[in-house]
Amino acid sequence: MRTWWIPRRWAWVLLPLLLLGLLSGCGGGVRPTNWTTLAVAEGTLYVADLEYVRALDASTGAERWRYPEDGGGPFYTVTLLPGEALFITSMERTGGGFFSQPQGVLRALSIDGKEVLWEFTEAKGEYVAPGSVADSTLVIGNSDGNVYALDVKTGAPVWAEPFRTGNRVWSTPLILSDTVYIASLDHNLYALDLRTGQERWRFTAEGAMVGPPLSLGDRLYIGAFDGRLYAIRQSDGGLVWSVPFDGEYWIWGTPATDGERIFAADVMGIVHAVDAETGAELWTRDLEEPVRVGLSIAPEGGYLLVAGNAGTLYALDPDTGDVLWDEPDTGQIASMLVHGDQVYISRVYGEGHVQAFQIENGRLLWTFPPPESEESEG
Amino acid sequence: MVNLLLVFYQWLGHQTILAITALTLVVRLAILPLTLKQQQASQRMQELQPKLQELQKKYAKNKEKLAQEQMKLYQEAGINPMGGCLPLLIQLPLLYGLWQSIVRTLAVSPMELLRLSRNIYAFIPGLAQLVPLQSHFLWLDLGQPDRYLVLPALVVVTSWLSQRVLTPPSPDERTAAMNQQMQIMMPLLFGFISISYASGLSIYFIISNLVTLVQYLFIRRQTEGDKKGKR
Repeated sequence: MRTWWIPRRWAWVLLPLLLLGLLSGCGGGVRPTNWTTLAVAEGTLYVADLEYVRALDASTGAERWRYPEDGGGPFYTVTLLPGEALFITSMERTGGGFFSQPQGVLRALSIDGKEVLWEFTEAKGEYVAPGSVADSTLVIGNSDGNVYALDVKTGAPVWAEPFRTGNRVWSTPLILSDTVYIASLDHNLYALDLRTGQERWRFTAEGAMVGPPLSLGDRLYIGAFDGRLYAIRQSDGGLVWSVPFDGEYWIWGTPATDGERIFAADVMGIVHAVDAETGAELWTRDLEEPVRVGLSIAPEGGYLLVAGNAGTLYALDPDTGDVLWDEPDTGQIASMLVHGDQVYISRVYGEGHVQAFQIENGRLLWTFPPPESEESEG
Repeated sequence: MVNLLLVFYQWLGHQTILAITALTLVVRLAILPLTLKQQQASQRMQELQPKLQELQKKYAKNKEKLAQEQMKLYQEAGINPMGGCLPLLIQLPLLYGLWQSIVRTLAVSPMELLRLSRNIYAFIPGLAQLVPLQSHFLWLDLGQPDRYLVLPALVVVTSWLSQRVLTPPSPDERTAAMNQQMQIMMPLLFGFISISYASGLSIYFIISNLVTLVQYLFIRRQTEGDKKGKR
């Protein structure tokens, strides 16, 4: 007579359930698939910190509030309408039981984090990048290939239908006057009418584009997965110039400018400076660390800030590319935000989720969560 | 494997389904000797069933003797009863690589896509520009699960059929019960993966299962031909 420690008829049910549980990551916490983002205004730094959206005191890092109180998400992006609302995105299962699939959820949160003003669940994919707000309209791209325009007060669609692209939209839109410029992984940079969503023009590159374009004068600058930096006319999308960088590695993040030069980095970690007018190369610097996050120039100039994907924050001399200081740390840098004389970064996988540095010397000002509170939480 | 998938995508008119199919067929071709061995072992085990059942009846009260006689029978027939597992284990890393290449090239998640950037061969011109692959096919976004559950259903059915032909029958009741559980569990597992992950993976599962079934039919026909020849 056979002996079973559980009834035999249950064994074949329990075993697959156990494997399914393991596969679905039960008990493993939030495993990020995307990078978290930051926004700052009026002395408050907002961060999508995977399980929470947090509001931190920008000068001390002290937490002012968090949403939701008992955790949720994962939350990846925040878009700020200063003084009014915060638009947050997450991936959630929104009903349907076992067969439900995670989908992107966009919420408008009151600026004090106490109230959800509205919710938008029409998009089928993940929101990878924050949106942009202009003229009471929030414009945001989604992994389902659509660009959505929503009324900031009600969440109602502003366009008759979302603008459809040929692949995922992982780019933050750039809104100038009444035009939305947004890149898609379908190799196109689109110019859309802010009020109607009608396409005005498109520029097609040889590779996909992820980073939002940079505006300078009457031109837009954007890098692509074909390893080229493009200068495009804002008015009609015509190509002004394009420069291939050595190795033709993907350019992911947005370029930066000091008004005369354009700075861009590729995913192999090579930073390039080119003349904004002609595209002529001025210098290159190999940081030997992948760079995905867009570059930033300090408001006063003098510092080109570069966030390495392995965790190091660099300040380069914009004139020469020399490293002025670097702050090595663990944990991928997910996003970087320059505000005043400080630079804020958010990290995934690192111990300090959010950090603030003095731009002038790279001094660490604060870390969130501070080491003590993390110990007491743990 | 990522680069091979991209090369197929380039050659086959930027059709992701065709590229996944071609890569699956190439990988299956590469592991053909192993899968054939596995299926042949399964087939031979099936042929031994009457003799094994006889032994079970004969030595029903003497388990030790039964095990000895069964082993003797396996040795005479030139079968390793665990022989089906080894080829399966060797295949797993290859299949995992195939899976990863599909997930990454379809840009299912930004982090996966960034990891991919370091795996593309720069010496093959134009490969880096192909990423991400075109993900729309009929109603499907190959980078997302199939919302209408058509592909998961096909995955479950084809996985069940391929499990059924791959699993050798066992004279031992406990092993047979475990095999039966596996035949239900594995299709459910693959079905769950299909519901949860990119539908490009479901395409891979379905094609892979169909290849297994075709191989099985081929081996069975060959075995039957051999038997007729002997008669």
